[in-house]
Amino acid sequence: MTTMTHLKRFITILELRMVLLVLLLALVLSVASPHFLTSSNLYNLLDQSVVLGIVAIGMTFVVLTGGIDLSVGSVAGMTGIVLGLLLREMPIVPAVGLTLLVGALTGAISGALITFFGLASFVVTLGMLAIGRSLAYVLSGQRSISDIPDALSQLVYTEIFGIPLNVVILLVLYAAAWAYLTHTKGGRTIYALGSNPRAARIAGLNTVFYSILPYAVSGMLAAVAVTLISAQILSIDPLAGNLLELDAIAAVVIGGASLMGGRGSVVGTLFGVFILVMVRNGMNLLGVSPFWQGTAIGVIIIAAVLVEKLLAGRTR
Amino acid sequence: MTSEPLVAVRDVSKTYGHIRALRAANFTLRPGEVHALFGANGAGKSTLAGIISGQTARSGGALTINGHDIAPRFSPREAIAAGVGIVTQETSIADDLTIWENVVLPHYGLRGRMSRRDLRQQAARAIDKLGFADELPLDTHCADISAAHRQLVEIARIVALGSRVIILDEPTASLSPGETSRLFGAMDRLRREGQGLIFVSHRLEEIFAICDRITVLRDGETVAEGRAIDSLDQAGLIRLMVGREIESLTAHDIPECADRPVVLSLRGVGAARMVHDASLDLHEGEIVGLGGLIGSGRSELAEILVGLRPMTRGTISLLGAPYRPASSVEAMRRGIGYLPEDRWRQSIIPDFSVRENILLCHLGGLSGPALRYAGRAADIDRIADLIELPRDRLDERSMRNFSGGMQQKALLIRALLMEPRVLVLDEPTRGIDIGSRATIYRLLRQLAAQGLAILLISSDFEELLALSHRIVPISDGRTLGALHADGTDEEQLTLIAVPRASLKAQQAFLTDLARQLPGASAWFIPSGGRLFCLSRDDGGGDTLPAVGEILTVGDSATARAVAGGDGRWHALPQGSHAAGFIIENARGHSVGIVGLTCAQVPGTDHHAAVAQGLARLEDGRLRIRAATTAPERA
Repeated sequence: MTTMTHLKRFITILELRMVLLVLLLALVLSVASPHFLTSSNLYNLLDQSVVLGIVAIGMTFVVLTGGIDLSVGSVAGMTGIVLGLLLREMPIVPAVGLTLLVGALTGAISGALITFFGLASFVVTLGMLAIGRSLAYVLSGQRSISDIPDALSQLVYTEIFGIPLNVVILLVLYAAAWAYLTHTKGGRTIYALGSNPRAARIAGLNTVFYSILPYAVSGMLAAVAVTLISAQILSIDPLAGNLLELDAIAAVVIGGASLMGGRGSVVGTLFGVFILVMVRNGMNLLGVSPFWQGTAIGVIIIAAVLVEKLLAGRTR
Repeated sequence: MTSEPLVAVRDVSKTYGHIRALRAANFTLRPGEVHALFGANGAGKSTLAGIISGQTARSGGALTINGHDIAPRFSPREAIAAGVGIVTQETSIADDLTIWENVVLPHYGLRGRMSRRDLRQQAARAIDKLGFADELPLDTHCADISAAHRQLVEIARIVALGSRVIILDEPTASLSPGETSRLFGAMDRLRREGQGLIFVSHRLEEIFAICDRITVLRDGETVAEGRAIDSLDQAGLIRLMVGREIESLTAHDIPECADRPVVLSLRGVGAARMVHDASLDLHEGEIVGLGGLIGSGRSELAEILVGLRPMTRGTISLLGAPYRPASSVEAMRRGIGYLPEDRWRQSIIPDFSVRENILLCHLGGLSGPALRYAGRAADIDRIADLIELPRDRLDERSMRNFSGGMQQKALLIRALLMEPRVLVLDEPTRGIDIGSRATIYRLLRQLAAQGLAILLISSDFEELLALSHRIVPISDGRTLGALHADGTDEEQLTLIAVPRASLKAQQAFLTDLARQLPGASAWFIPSGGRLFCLSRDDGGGDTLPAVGEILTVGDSATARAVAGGDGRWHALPQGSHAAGFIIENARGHSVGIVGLTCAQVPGTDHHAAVAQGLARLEDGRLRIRAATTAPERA
């Protein structure tokens, strides 16, 4: 009886549930394929998690406020081209800095439109999705930019204590996001306004600033993600980041966040990212046709939401 | 009355998981009665109402409706077919449809073809039957009507379905006293047509006003079944409800605060809408009640004070300094605490723990990024002890398992944590059972005794009068002077708080009187040795006070002459004359005093003039109190 109640309490803590799920998935995959549990494959998994993982942080911020950001993929594409063009004019550090600023500004514009005019985030970011991709093509002249300085690749291939820099960046960003969301005024405000914006405003929280901020974070992290893509392949395509928003939303939802806002965590999202990446990786290892991946991921998304719904119903 | 019962409930139980919401509920509804279902929050009233209306499946026991046994799994649609309709607190009105479409909405779920014209007529008939044809224009969109009217649309919906059993679950929670009495009129009409009405409520006055019989639930069990309402008194009912004696809600001593420093002072305050001209003073340690109905601007005035609504006119001074809050943080930092009227929509963060909910204003008031939650733990414990919220409940993960009273206590801690000098409370006891109410009342008095100034808003005038030192009436966004709470009763306050527009006829009557004399005339509400001027003739002579002004009987010869109410002319020191008539309604309750003044005693029969004028007011239900009718020409 007591072990059952302990187990129940354990299950109701989101992060622990996610760890359990990831471990279970890893166990199944390592039994199914001898190639899964090799150091090179595990490194591969982390490497593949970087871009999606970074974008998913921004998406978590937005979803916590009860919004959604459909524009992250095309903002990544657009800022990637901006980076490529800037790198022709200036050294790496200011170019990357300016690129991140452009990403943040783009997000802030969406956020401001949503907050000041009470527009639906779905619609505003859908518009931004179209605008971003279109600008990526216009600015690039419909061509990939491949004259990227080799030095940019240091962002990916430098190792710190044997860990590649891009993975370090991913983990540092997660740690920072977690600390921000759980231990600062801004973070708690984001949760509060996602849960009940009216109560948050009446209690004196700065709901205007913190409604816009998540979109700016999301836009900036899209720019960070595309910078790392460019560093890895030393080429930037205007189509970069296409459909990235759907994977990011999937990761956030699998990670247990409520699309109504107020509930979720970046730790959950990180495990959501791992689950997505592991399923794809495992299916590749097992030689399953890539066309089946969509079905598998779709089932996982729906199952994740269903489990959340059932658990939420029980705790009420 | 031994007619076949419409509804019979025998030993019905309901469990949710491990929680027993109902153990052994017994209840019988007869045709042509209004039957109160009474009990504290969580006693199982709403669960039982849900079972009878097919919204909740029962776990055990028997239910018969119109003599037919009903299976435990019984859908709302089957309930409607069986003739049972329910109106709940949360209205299920479709905003984008018109009133008539909403009234016949359930018909869309029925089989068969329907013609829009027939349905519209059906809706019109239902609204007529309730007597609300003037208030519910068929083609108005429901998005544009008030909460009270939405409730009426729901009731019309049930009537349109032809239900013989009508369940009203706390229908008056969002209604003003005037609206409530109109609702009672409609209920009476339905009762006389032989329908059975179940009235779920925890407001005693209302139960005594409208119900024939009462069934009391306590902890999921029927403790009194179908008692005649005449056989019970308020104290007895409360005893039945809580199973013990509780302290009276009203009896208390009010220390005088008029000589203490003014903390908050409003002069001519207005906003773009709803508030036009509000003035009041709030002293240290004083509780001032805003006596207004819904729509009077009372909540909007509170919003101005807490920085949620921009002030466009007037001045406010707070602790002697000018005050014009631009945001709720500013209001909080300046020492204003606020508990808004709707806890779930305006106060509670559902995904936060109890503790973090309590810390929400602290969070809003932080100037740096650090949370500093730990530094507040001692303060929270101290205030929790003060207001008797058990410390172990502070660490629950959600406010969902808190009763209304517990939620309100937690929210009080939230406000008190900011060390306010002024507390603005909007409907602090809405949806809270009598047991917890008493605790909250004691708490507010205690806080006031410690020097906190409290501005209180409540639709429950009994509560407002019991808690407040003074009452500032407000109607149509304008405050009207200030009354001392002792010596004022609910009926007087209701009269004073009516919307000004509805006083048009009274004003015309007074103007007419003044012309006939000729002189001046005014309608006063007597209140503890004072006369409150409710309305007056439009001549504007200065022998009588302006609307909202108060005359003290001890200080004014005019007031003395009028308050006497003997209908005779009394010579005043300034050479003019004054007379007063006490006016009462059909039930013999005084509704005010008509005061007249003139330079010389006129030749016209002023008694007859008043009587004739009264006959044209309020369908002739008012008359001059018999004891004072000694028509004698001086």
